[in-house]
Amino acid sequence: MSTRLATSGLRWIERRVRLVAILDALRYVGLSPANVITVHAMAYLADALAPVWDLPILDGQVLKRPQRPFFPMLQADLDRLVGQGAVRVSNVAYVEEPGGQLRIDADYAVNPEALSRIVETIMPFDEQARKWTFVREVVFAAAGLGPEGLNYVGLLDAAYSNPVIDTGEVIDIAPETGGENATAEVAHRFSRLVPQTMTLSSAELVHLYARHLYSRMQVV
Amino acid sequence: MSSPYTESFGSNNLLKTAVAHCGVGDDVTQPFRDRFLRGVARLAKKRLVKGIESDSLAVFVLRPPDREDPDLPNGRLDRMIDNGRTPAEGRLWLVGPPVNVGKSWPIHHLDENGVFDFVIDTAGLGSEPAVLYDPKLQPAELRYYPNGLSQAETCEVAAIEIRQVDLNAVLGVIDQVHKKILAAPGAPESLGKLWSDPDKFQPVERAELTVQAHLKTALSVPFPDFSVRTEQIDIPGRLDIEVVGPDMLHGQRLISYVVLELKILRSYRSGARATAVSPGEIVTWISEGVDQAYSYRVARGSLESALCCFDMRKTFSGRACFDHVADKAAHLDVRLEVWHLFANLKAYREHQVAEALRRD
Repeated sequence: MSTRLATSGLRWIERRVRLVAILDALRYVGLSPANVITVHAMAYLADALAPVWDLPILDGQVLKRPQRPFFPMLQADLDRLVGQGAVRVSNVAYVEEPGGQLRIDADYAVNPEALSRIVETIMPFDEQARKWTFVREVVFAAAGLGPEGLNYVGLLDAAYSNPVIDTGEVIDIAPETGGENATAEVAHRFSRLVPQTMTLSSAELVHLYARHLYSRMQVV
Repeated sequence: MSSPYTESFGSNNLLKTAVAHCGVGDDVTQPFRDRFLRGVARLAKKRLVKGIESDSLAVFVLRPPDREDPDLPNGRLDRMIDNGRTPAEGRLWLVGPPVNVGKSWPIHHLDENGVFDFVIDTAGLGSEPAVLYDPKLQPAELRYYPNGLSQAETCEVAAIEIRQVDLNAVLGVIDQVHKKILAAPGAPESLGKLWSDPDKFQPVERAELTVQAHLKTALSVPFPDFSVRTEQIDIPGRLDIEVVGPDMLHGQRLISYVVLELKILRSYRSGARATAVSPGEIVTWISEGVDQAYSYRVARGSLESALCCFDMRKTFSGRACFDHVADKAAHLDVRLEVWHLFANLKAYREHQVAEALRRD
């Protein structure tokens, strides 16, 4: 199963499993049901930090919006999961963004029965279990930013807030398309700043990165 | 030219983050309960470092808050609650394993009995793992109730204080772990088993890993803002435990305070054939252990090092097991310590009685 999932044609399965992993992890930190902004922010951070765990990025290109990322394909995946009953939706509304666009506003929570089935299916596969743990740690780390910080993650994150890229341009964090991932680069730099004898784990790099974004909240 | 963006992601600021948050994320493989306990300890210590004085208890419960809980309405959600600045005292907190975000309710108006009643009866949280933080005691104290406040008789107490990490402090923690968990069978096996066949004095094959896991958990609570690192690979080999943390004298850097080489002394190997371990092998292991403790200390630039032996043999020889290395260890400044792990409770009790009679 792991070999088949590696092909781009089945990337949509990876994205949906990642969504379920995000919603599951959000339960543990008290952010469930999770607002749509939180879900997109976590998905973005999971992609930007994936190279820190030597994992592939699922959505390497994102259109830069004023303050936070939003992935139309991820939203479609979320809607599909709702339709399948794997995810529950509540408090649905439409809000107007600066610029006049309407976007959906809703809260999402994973269906516990669907979650059990998904976890039972994927956890025997080491690579999938590793990806699940990675997403969990990204959520655990970024939860410390709180809903407000996640709402403004685009202004905090290294890659997304890079002033060289204007709103309306594409942020490319995927190495295979020549993208530069400033987020992963900053996370990796923690390793070079501690004593050479101290090898920081991937989880520590993710958590330190989230702590550093928190320190930027005061500045930004 | 520097901009606010490049400056905020500059090396100086990243190093500040790395030092201020040493150890965050290094517990990803540990059970959620252990991460919760360490997270509360980190929060409490940060409050002490900030010089916050308070008479009010804080209670932390490992149960992430529901956004709409009819029993606990109108909670205050706080982010990065372990930064030391968030007022924690006098409140009931619902948190997840990372203890970096939580919802809280005031309890400063309640005495200790009232706090228990509120958590158990009003909030219905009596069965969830909980930590009571009492800042008014000297030193401040954490009381961990792994089965919840409704089973208050099951409680572990840990002091939270601002103190230097040194080998004496680390070995003191190991003493406590030995007494409470390792000395005799009966400890929960959530971190692994020690004996594969206690009647035959057979440890499990990787007993060192079980001991290491217990020590890592135990050391993480009194030193929550340090990183207790296990199985670090370096040129001399693989060292067992290293305690790394902020340099309390020289500011913005991390240093290695203590390295520990752990050895399990066995009478028999694990496995169906249970082959005996010869006295000569024990002598060699201990001698190699001294060399390893010294080499790791030099390689890591650590301040102190020790060889810690956990003796699971049929007969306990005490510190006599170090007779052949005592001079070498003294010369290399490697501390030597040994603890006996008994295969059954009866033997442990007999040892305790014998020790008490010997002292008298």
